[in-house]
Amino acid sequence: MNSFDAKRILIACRPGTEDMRDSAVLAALEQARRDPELQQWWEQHQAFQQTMRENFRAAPVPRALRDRILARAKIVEVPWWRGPVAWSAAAAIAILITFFAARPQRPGENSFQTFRSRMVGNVLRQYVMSIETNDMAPIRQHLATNNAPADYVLPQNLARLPVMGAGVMSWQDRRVSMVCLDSGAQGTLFLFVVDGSWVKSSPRQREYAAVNSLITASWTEGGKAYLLAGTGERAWLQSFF
Amino acid sequence: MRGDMDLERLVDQHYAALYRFALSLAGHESEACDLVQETYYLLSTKGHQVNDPSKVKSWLFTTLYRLFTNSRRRLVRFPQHELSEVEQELPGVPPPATRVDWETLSHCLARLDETFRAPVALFYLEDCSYADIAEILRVPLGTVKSRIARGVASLQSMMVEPQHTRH
Repeated sequence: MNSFDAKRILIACRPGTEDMRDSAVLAALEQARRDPELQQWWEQHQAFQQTMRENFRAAPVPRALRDRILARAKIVEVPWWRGPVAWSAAAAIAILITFFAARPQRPGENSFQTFRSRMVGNVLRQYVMSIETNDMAPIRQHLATNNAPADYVLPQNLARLPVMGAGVMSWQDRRVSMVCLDSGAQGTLFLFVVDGSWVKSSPRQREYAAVNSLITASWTEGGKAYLLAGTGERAWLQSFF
Repeated sequence: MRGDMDLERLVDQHYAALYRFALSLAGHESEACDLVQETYYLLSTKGHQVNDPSKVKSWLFTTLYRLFTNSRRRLVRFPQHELSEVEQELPGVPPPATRVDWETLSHCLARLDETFRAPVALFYLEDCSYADIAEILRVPLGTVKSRIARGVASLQSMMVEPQHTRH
């Protein structure tokens, strides 16, 4: 092994780690013992590597990050009944839910207010994205395949946000599209789209309302009812229109 | 999530290192925070897929890296750099250790090709083995070694540049 080859090997070697036990590294170190210039370079390089490791690990971490992580992660933390121990109980609950959901709905339950409340409740409890992608085209295709509204129109500022995925929900025997957008610091923005003819009293003009812990914006366009929901203030949500 | 993988404990164990990795990739505090938050959010929803608690750390770093590359909205190609390509980039003398601080390092990382940034960050940040880095980045072992060598050489070249040529 010559000094050039030895240098190539030693440049990617971390002193004090298992890298030093590699046979190629050992051969390179042997060459360094024979070549004073290489040895000098190696000694300087070790100091450099150590400093690099210290500096990488010294990068300051924002104080509030830990709390923000926990706050966001716990919104949709998988509940206890996902565990194997409670499968039978979960199955029983699912059967009961299906039974009650299949019952004829009382008149008035297809109001927009009820729709809004149900959709917000769904995402606060738990929701599932049946497709995860940052490309809107396959999302529209997926929704259309599942008979959910796919030809929705997004306001320009909203359309600029990265999309994360989508899911299909049911409400009053109708399919509802749920599109998840990444708003950045405020987390996920949920856009729900449903056939407007199936929702009574849809807002004719844009309407803002706080529902549970989310802020919502609602509007009707092109025969569809839209509901946008997220964490944050009203002014922030307004900025997307 | 599995009962034996308490979320809060996993946050305390890994969030700082994850953030530093994200910062190395993204270069911006806000984006780095978003990446870390999103990673733990995914852990809270998909953590049941990780059967071995000892694999959680690797899962976290892999997921964060995938989130980062997806956010760039482009396919990251992994050209097979031969180790010999490093020859022309080996600086004669490493920069003095006293010239290396976090501010200098972050500026140089921002200039470093994204292909090398991730393996170099894992190399220094977590003392990950080459095999671990290969697993996290989903690239062959030989590719990891060549990228680290090339990345380190590039960083050294930037750091030994005269001050007035730095950005």
